[in-house]
Amino acid sequence: MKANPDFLQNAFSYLPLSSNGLFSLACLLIAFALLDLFFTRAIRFKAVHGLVLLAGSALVVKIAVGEAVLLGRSQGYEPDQPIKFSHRIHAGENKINCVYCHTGVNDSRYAGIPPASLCLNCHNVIRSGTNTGKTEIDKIHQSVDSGTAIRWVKVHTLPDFVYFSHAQHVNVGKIQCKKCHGDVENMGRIQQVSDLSMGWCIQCHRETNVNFDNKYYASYKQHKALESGKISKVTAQDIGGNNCSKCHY
Amino acid sequence: MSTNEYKKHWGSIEEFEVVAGVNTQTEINASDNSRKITKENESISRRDFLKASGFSLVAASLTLSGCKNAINKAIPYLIKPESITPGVSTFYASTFFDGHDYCSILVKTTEGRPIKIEGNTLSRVSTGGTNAKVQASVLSLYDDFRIKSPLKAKQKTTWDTVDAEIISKLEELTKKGNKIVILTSSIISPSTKNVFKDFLKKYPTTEVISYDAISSSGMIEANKMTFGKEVLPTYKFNRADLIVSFGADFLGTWIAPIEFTKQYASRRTPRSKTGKANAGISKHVQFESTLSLTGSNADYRIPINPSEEGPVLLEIYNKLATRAGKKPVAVSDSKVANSQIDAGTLPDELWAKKGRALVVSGSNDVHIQILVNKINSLIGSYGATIDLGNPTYYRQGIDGKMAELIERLEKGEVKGMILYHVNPAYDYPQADRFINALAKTTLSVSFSETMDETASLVNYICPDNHFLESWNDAEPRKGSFSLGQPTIGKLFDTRQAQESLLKWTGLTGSQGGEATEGESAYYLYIKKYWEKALYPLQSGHHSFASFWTAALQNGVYEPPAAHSKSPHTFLLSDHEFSKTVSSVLSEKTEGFEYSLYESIGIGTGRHANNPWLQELPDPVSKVCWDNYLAVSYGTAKKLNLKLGDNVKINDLFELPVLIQPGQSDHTVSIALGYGRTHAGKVADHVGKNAYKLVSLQKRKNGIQRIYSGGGITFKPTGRNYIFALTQTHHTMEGRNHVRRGRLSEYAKNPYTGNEQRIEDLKHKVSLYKARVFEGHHWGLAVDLSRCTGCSACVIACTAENNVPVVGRDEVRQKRIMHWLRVDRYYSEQPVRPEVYFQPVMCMQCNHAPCENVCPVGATQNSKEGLNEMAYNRCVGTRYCMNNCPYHVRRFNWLAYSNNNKFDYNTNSELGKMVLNPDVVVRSRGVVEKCTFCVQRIQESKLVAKTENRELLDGEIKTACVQACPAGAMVFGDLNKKDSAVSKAFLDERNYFLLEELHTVPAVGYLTKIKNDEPLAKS
Repeated sequence: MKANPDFLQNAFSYLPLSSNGLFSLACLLIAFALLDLFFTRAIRFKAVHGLVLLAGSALVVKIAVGEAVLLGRSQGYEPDQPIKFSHRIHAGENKINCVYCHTGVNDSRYAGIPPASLCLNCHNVIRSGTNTGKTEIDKIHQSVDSGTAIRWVKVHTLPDFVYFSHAQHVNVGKIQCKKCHGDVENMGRIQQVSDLSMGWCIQCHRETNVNFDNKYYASYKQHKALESGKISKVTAQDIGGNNCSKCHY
Repeated sequence: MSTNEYKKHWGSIEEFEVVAGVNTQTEINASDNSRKITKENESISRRDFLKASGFSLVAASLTLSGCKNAINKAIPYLIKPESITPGVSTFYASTFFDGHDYCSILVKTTEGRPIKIEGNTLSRVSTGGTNAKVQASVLSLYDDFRIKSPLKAKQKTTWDTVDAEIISKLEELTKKGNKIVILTSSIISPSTKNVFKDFLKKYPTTEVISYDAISSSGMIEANKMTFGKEVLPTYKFNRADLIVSFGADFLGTWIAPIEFTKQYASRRTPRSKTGKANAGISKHVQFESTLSLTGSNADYRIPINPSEEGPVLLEIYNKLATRAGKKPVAVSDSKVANSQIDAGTLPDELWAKKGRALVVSGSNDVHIQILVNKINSLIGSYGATIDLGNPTYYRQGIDGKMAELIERLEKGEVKGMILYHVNPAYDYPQADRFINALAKTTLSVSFSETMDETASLVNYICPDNHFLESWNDAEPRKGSFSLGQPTIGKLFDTRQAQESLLKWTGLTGSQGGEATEGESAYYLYIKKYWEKALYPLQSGHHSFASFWTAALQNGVYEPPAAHSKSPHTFLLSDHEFSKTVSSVLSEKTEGFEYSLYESIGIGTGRHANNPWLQELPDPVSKVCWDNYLAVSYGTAKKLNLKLGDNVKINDLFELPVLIQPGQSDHTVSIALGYGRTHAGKVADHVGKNAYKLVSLQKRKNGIQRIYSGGGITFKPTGRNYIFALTQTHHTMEGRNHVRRGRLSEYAKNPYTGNEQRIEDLKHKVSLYKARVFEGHHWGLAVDLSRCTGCSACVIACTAENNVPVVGRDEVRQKRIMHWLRVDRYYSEQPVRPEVYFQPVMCMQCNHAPCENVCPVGATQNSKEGLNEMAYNRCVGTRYCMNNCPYHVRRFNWLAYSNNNKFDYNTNSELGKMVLNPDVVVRSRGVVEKCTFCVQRIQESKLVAKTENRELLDGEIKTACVQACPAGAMVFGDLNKKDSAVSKAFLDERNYFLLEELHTVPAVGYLTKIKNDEPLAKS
């Protein structure tokens, strides 16, 4: 195999479109309208200026709101990591199951980042990689030998006031990792695919059916309605999945 | 008195005066003197405001323009410990014993940090209950004031240095034949006792002396003199139909309150559906001078002065003796006239309930305890309600030995002192004498965890681990064993005291063998002891390893107790007995008597630096952050004393006055445990040290520490003090919140006291549609007949939900943050009030008044009936607080974390380690409240889902429910007809707070039924 210098690159980016161009356009429109209104006076109908100004300002407001909404979100975030680790190689080409490394996903709120010792399960033997040779893999050994932790850059961050449990979603809800984390098997550097906004969460809860066969739900009254055909499905929202205290406490 | 008047409750003396019409001038809120607090330098002029807002606008736009998300790091373990899954908490069984209170516990650890303590239900001794001190003990692990390394003459040094120097000094002292004394608090650990024994072998001039901060020496010595056993017995309050207590606060502080509360509460619920109405309810008579927690729960409470205790007991004895055909003790008339109290028909009733009655006394006077023992043996308590064959070891200190020790120190007879968890420089009545005497030693070593009053006087401090960092074992009661295991690595360079002693003895390994890394010498020592002494007792396990693992996992090893029906022979001859006990009669003293008591939160004062405990309102007086001089209503009227008037007591110190209903008229009371000077930033100079008032008195067997006395003087200084007093906070304006009935009426009509409920049910009409809950509907039932008001739930809630500590000044302004409060109401007259407790948390109303006034929808009702609060959505209008008829919502007026003005646990990195990561720390400007511990509900639901099964009833326990030693609360699903809470809601005693408002609460109360069976006819 030949080394691929772009092995960390991703074929896609989920970064929201930049609104800089649109913003410049709006500013230009406003500037032109003002210029013509007070100086050049090429257009006789002042209503045109008014309309253009209105449209320009509306655009500015729209952009401002759009940007404000994006504040604190980080869709498309793809930081460099201390080790040039590629999910494409591990999860994609070598088909390692996600849970092999992210062991907490079925039991804990955190899927967890694997301890360095877990990397060594394989990298005790595999001392050299196709793309980076020994440099990157040596970092794991150094870290374990010297006892200094690897400081990964966290990509998916939820605010402190949100309680999210992987166990609930993956173990109970049987949601595929892909659903939120995207096509990780084809990612070099890991990238945040979803915007992790509350609207995004809620939308999913509205659409996703609950596995009502789980005996836990045996006492739920919706069973009757399901049997009688009154309702055809029970979504997460129907059992309170969109209540505040499902995530905020 | 008309029924109407009888129902009237009052929360404070001022309220009483309004209710009773004594003084129409008094404002109900007079006790709320918070309004007098002026806000200095806090007013902001218009110009300042404009300046500030202009600046913030510029700053905000500058920051926003350069706004980038912070880069967060994710740092995994290098090698993940097997037992830790990040995000999943682990429970370890362990043991709490601080020389005073015992509790078998489960410690919840998250990511390796202990964050919460629960009771261990497997323990036969503490049976899953906890109290406020046990709940709060996890916070003292993260106390900044802990000593972080060994110290020599207060300078930091290494373990090797202190070990070498101490060993050489010990050897020198032994060689010279000089005495060494290990002064220790009561030790219930058999292994520790063996460590002492080994130490004694190496240094034979050593002597071990036990010293309790608050002594029970009187009882121990009385048992020795009367039965030849120098121990405390095991009490069985659950077997007593009649409990007579003389100042013993057995539900709050006396000996083993957790155990006793469980036993007591099991006999306080009137059964209705299942059996005869009053088949099981016990009758409780309390004689005491201070209104204690136990006295508050009594069916009959008779205020007496401390000096009257002896005469009353003697009168009871004499009547019983006559009945038993023995000769009564002759008393001279001049002395007995001292007593104003008539024991009435009580002796007859005790006689009638022979073998089903129990008399206890909190006195430390050996003569009184002998008298109590005699009474108990006359009424057949031994073998029935008292088990002397299976004694308890909670207290071992003998006062005489301590007094002797000081004399010996003064004479220079004792040259070496090793102090283990004792603080006599603070809590010995003659602390100055002790301090001077200690200076005469050539070697003084302290194992103190903090630089307390005594530790600051010694040559070497070898700081002990916190108990959550230590191995230990315990034998609280004969034949009941429990283990303590570390739940976190050592935070500082400390070393367990036993480990130090083993080191100095030369036993660093398991008696010769070298300890491997991670296995402390003391751990191996305990294991060895268990293998030798306890493993042979059992037969279930075929190897010691499996026995040890099981014991460690369960936390306890309790082989079936040997049934002790051994006849107890009374050793004192009748002549000796009457000679001894006639001295309980004293001449009448002039002036006021005093009585010193242990408070529920602060206890002996050892844990005073715990801000949770300081902010816990006293269950009865509802004062936090202070001690005070409790005076009776009559005394206050006579001397014209008002709430908070400072008085100078015996020219010793100044304390503010609190008018305590139920206080005996000629007695004033002060709580011990306050006035620490070397406790740490939280407790230093909070209150005054009342240990100075403890008197040392000569008794037959030596010196005795007596916690009451006469001849106290106090004169007003003219200053007034403002208490942090919560009793009138969150008042519900005289509505009928505590419903109560009498047992006699209950037998006829189980709705007694709850007639309003029938009325309310008739008017159950609503504009709202009835709510339908598809899945769960959470509910909580509180049985007021069981609740003793002990406030363990308050601290449990604080720990579980990251409730901030706000400090005295904020509490004065009614800003206490506790999500769960225990309301205390009085009724009747202040001379002999009846007292009622009522825990109040969020009612989780179906039709919640708070919800429809929130302008931003921050509080909503969930599909499971929870009234939710989304902090991140709250903008702080406080409309909800205003609209909540139960006053259970709290507002974060200020930032209580990372704020030097609130220098408690959330202002230090160390202190923050106690925070529960499942619950968010609220910021300034938002409203918060009880959530029914929704994090626990969610956690248990998730477990059930992953295990593909339904939730079990009782599986989810909110923090308050779990902490309750009385089992007064049940939590569960109201949608399930057979759940405990559903059943409780169908009880005739069930009612809802302010049901007439039709808020449809999910918290139900069961009426308080007091046993009013009249004291038997003669």
